[in-house]
Amino acid sequence: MNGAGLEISDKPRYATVLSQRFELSVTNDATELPRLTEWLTDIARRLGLPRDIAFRLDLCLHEAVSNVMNHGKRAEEPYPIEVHLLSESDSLTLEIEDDGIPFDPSSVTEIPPPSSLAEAKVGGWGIPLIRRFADRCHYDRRGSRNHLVLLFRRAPESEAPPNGAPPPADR
Amino acid sequence: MNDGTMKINLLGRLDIVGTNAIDLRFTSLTATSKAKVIVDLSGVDFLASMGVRLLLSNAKALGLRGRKMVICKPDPMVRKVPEATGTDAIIPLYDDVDSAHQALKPP
Repeated sequence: MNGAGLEISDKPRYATVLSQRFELSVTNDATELPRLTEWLTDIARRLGLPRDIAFRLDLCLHEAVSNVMNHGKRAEEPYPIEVHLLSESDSLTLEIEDDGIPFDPSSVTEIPPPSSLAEAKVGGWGIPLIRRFADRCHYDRRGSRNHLVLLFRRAPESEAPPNGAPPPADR
Repeated sequence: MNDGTMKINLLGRLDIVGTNAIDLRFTSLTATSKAKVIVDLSGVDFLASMGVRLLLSNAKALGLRGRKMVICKPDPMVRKVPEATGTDAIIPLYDDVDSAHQALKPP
């Protein structure tokens, strides 16, 4: 360091992208789902995401947004669902926000694995899939808005096949 | 197949949009089938809860008529979806058509 406060080093410091943030707004209509898929597919390609984590993001985003579309209606009028994706060196974080009726996915009762075809429930697998394919699931009601945060670790250990035990959902 | 087994090949994404697009055709094929059914998922690169629902509802309908459904050749990530929900215990998954076929043969 010289007297003028200029840092001088003979070692070059190359620029590194520490994080990237992406945003999309869709309305609560199933015809918006292909646009959501295209948005995420494009990001996965730009970030060079491995198929494992790209699939898990795709699945959890699809289930979370379609859940809002199916159950979050508060009026006949369309309303926006805001999606944010934060990419960092060790993780990816999806945030899904809407101002529909309050709904906490972590409060949904777990479905036991079906014991027989005759007794199996055909539906209700969306929230269990989010719990199993995201590494963390956190819900907040902020004012009049639902705020769901799903975290996916880039570390190899998080990319092991999901087993029967879902990760604990944060409240 | 000439032994009383029907193989149905699915293609694309089994999300809400993709599942809705094939629901009627798939259900009419399995509902009118007097055969056991092998569902080939090798062309499916995405499976969401709506796709699981379609497979389960048709497997149940077949089961009521004493017929079986099995799945073959799922993509490695697609395979994790029925495994994660435990539905692979009631609609078995096989890595190839021959294994699926063998599993449907009477003991």
